Amino acid sequence: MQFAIANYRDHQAALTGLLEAACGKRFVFIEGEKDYGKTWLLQWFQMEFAPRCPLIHVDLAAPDEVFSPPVIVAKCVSIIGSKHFTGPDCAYAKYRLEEMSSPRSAEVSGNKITGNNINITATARGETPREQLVNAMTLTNAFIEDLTRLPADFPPFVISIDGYDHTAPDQAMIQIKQWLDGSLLPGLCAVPQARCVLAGRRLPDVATKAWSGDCAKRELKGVPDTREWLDLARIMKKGYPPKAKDDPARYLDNVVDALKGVPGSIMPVLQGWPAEGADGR
Amino acid sequence: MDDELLSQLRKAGNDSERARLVFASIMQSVPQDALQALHVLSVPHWFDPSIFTELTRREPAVTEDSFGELGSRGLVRRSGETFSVVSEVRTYVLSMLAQSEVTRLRDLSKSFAEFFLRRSPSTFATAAEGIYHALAADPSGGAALLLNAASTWKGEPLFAYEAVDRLATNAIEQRDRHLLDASSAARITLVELMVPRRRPPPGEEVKILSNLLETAPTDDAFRLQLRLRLGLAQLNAGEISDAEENLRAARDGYEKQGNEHMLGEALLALGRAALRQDRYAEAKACFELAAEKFERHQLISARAHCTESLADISFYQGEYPAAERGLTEALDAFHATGALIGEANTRIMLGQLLALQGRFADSSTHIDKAKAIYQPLNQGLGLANSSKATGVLLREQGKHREALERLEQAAAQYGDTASGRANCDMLSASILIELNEAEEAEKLLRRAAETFEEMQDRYSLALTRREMGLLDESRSALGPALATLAETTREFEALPNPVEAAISGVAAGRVAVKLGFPAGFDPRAVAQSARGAASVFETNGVPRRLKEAQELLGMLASAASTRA
Repeated sequence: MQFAIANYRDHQAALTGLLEAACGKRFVFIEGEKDYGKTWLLQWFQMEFAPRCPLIHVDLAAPDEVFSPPVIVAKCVSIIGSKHFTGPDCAYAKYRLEEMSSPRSAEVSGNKITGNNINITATARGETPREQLVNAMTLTNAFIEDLTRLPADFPPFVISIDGYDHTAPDQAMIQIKQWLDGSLLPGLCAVPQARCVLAGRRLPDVATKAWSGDCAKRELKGVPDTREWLDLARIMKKGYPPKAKDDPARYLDNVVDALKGVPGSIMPVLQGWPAEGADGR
Repeated sequence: MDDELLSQLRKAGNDSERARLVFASIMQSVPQDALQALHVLSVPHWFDPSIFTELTRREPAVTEDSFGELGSRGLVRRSGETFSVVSEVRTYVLSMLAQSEVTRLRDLSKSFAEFFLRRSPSTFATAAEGIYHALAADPSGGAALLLNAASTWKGEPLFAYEAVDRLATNAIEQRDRHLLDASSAARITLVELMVPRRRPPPGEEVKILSNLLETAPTDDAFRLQLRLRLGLAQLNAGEISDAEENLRAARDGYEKQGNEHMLGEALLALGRAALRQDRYAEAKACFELAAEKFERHQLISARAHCTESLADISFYQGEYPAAERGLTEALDAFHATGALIGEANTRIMLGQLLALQGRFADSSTHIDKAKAIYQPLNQGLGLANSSKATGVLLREQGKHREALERLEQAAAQYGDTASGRANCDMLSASILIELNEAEEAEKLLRRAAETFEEMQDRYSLALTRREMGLLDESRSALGPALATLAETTREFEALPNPVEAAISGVAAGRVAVKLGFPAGFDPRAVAQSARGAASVFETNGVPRRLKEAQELLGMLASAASTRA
C-alpha cells in the first residue's frame, strides 16, 4: 500500500536511514509548525517500518492517553520484550497496570454512572513532580543499563515520539521534556541498537549536547511545488473538480499558493476532489 | 474552491486562519446527514470503534456511510486506534451547539459521559474524558465527579498531577463554553490548585481559597475540602492560628462523615501545626491517630510522614532509642514509595542523632546519602540542612575548626531562612565557647536568641540560653552562669526533654561545684542529679554527655575528699 504524502523525500530518507547497518545519525529530529505534516510523516514511517523492527510510537498530543516517563519506559519494555529487562530496578518491577478496588460512580442527569478505576500505579513514583522526575531518571538508568546488555545481534529498535511541545506546557509535558533532555536521549546514546525520532513544533537545541553528532535535524517547511501535489493526487487516485478541468496545474497552483504550501490545509482540499473516473477522465 | 475563497485565503493573516477558512468551506458542501453526524462526533475529543458502534445504535445520523463521507473530506482523522474531528472544525461545531442547541449538546454529552465512564479497563484519559462530558451534561453531578477524581488522583499512591492537569484543562474548556454554573466553577478552581504548575505562592493561594470559602454554597463535602486545603495553605504561609482553626473544622467534619482518609490528612496537618509550636503532647496524639487511619487504608507514604514526625518528637523529647526506631521505619517506607524528600529529611535527622551517639561512620553515611538526594532535586534547604548536620557530626568528633567552616557554609545556604541561620549561629557559638572565643560567641548567641524569641521556638531558645550560661561559665561569671543553667534545666524538664534537661543539669552542677555549693545546690542533690543524668545518657547512648556527667561525679568525689 502506498502512503499518500507530499514531497518530504529528504525527511523520509533520513528516517529510512535509521535502519541501515551503517546508520550515521541515530537520532532524527523533525521540527515543524502545526499542519506541516509531522504526524503524516511519522504515520508513514510507522506503516513502513513497524513490520520490520521493534517500533515504539508515542504521540504526546494524543487525547486518549496521559503520558508520563514511566508509562513511556513501560511501553518500550513491552515492545522490545520484557525478557530483556532483568535488572533489579527494571520497569516491570516498579510499574504495573493495577486495578484499584473501588469503583467510581456518579449521578449524571439522574443516571448512575459507574466505572472501574484502573490506573498506572507507580509503586515508587514519589510525591512531588521533582521527585517523580528524579525517580523516572533512576528508572531510566536501569532501563538503559538493561538495553546495553541486549545481544549483539539484536536488531535496531526505534522510539518515535510525536507531539513534542504540541501545546502550552502542561504538567505532563513539563516533566517529559526534562526527562527526555536529561535522561532518555543521552542514555540512548550508549545503546548501539537504539534509534530515536522526535517530532514537534519546537525541539530542544542539540548544539551544546555531547550527542549532537548523533542527531540529524530536519525542518518541515511545507510543500510549495504544485507538481508534488499533482503527483499526490494521482497516488490518491483523484480526478479534478470541474473548475480545474481546463488547466489542473494552474488551478492547483492557485490553491497551493493561497495555502502557502501547508500540507494540513491542502490535503483536505485534495481529499474533497472527485475520485478518478468520476470526473470523466 | 471558488475565487472568493481563494481571495479570502490570500488575505488571511496566518496558517490557522487559512485552515479555518478551508474547513468552513468544506463543511458547506457536506450533505445534511453527514453534517448531523459531524455534530455528534465533534462532542468528544476522540472516539474509537467501540464508541462509534454504540453511537450507531443511538444516533440515526451516525452511520458507516456518514463516517466515510466525513473521513473522505478530511474532517475526521485517524491516529492509531482512535479518531477525532479536526480541531478547527470541532471548535466551530461545539461553539455553535453551545450557543444554539445547548439541550442537544447536553444530551450528547450525557451519552459520551456514559460511554467513557463505563469503559473497562479505564485509564486516566478515558476517565478524564468521561468527566469532561459529565460536566457538560450535568454541571453539578459532573463537578462532584471531577473533584472526587482529582482528589484521588493527586493523592497516594498515584500522585498523578499530569492526569489532574488534564481534568482541569478539560473542565476549563467547558467553563469557557459557558456550560457550567458558579458552583461548578468554584470546584474547578479548587482542582486547579491541586496541579503544581497551576498553584500560586502560599499567600496568593490563601486569598483564593478564602474567597472560595466565602462564596461557596453550603455543600458540606466541598466546604470541608476547602477548609482542609485552606488550612494547609495557611500552614505553608506561616499563618498558624488561622490554619489550626480551619484544620480543626475539617477534622471535625471528616470525623462526622466517617471519612478516615481525609480525617488522617487533617490530623497530620494539625500535628504539624502543634509541633511548630512545641505542643508535643498534642502533636503526638494527632500523628498517632493519623497514622492509624493511614495504616488502615494502606497509605504507606502518608503513614511514614506520621512515623517520622513522631520520631522527631521523640528526638526533641530526648528519647533517642524510640527516635532511632521511628526514623529507621520511616526511612524504609519513604524509600519504598520513592518519597525522596521524606527519605533525605529522615536521613538528616538520623545522621544528627547518630552523631550525638558517637556512631560517626553511620551518621556520615546517612548525611552523604541525603545530600546525594537533595542535589538533583535542587533542594537548597535540604543541602543547607546537610551542611548543618555535617557541622554537628564534626563537632561531636572534636573537629572544631572544620565544624565551624561547615556551619558557616550552612548559614550561607540557608539564605533567608531565619531559623536555619539561627541554629547555625547557636551551634557555632557553642564551639567558639570551647575554643575560648567568647566575644564572637556572644554576638552569635544574641542574634540566635532574638530569632528564636521572635519565632516563639521554646526548644531552640532554651538551647541558646544554655549556651549563654556556658559562655558566662567560660568567663568565670559563675553566679549568672548557674542561674541561667538552672533555669534552662527547668525549661527542658517542662518541655519535657530529659536528655537536654540532664545536659543543663550537669552544667549547672559543675558550676555549683566551682562556686562551692551555694544554696539549693548541696553536694548530695548535685550528685544525685549527676547520677540521674548519667543514667539518661546511658539509656539514650550519648557518650560525650555521659563523659561530662562522669567528670562531674569525679569533681564531686574529689570535693568530698577535700571536705573530708
